[in-house]
Amino acid sequence: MKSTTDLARPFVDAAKDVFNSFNIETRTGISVLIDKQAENVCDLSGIIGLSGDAVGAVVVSMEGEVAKLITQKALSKDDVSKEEIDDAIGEIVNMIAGNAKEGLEEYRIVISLPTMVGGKNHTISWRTDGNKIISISFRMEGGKTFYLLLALEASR
Amino acid sequence: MREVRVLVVDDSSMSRNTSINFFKELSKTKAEFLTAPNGKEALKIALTQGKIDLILLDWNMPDTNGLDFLKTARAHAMLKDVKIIMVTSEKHKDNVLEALKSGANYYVTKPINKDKMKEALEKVNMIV
Repeated sequence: MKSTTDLARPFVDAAKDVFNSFNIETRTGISVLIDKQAENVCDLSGIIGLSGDAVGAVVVSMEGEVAKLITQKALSKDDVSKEEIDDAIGEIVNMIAGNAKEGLEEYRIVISLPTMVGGKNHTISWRTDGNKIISISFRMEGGKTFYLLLALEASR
Repeated sequence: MREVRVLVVDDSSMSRNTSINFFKELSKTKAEFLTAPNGKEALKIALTQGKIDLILLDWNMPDTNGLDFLKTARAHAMLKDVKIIMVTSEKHKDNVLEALKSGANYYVTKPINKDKMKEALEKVNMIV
């Protein structure tokens, strides 16, 4: 059975590739385990649930201004609406989860539709054990940071 | 040369627009675009709005997903021969095989770019 770290790697690689495709260069920082009740310091989270042979969730969390910047890059325009930001970030999380499945070919994983959650310091209540939730920081050009949060558990 | 009609089915407006923009850039044929945010709406359009030449189809969508739409379309006399390209983030080889087995003419993974779209349109003879 793969460890949580091994399960996480395809998601990190997929995230780098997806952001790179929108001309957003990123550098990953350290990965840390977080508490299942940890307060999220970001304004906006895009969440996708996983079911099947590996269960859990994939979350991309960021400040509102970072979400706006990413959406501007993805849509190649400066003027972006709240709806466009939610749509773009949700679709990016969908691409990360769907692309990561390529690196987990031995597992049959079903991904949910993305859900967007907003609000300063919103809390994500994880259903996974606390020692299996990983937070990886991604630093963009100019120093802006967003986070990939992964709660992953293989069922076989 | 007659105008082609393309149905773009995706729950993300960003992805719908991306597909439309690449098609416009790549195809020399004038096109009319119809859009739907899920398979249910797409089916309604495909069965009531006249002949469709090409469907660009996402997989993960609310109501009716892309795979279910694909299976329904291939079982329907009006849609069994329409060209369908899956445009989806689902990259697992089982997903690709399932879609092709269910009648997709080609399969490209998001994020799409000009090269991927060009290859897909060439495969279904939509670049003339």
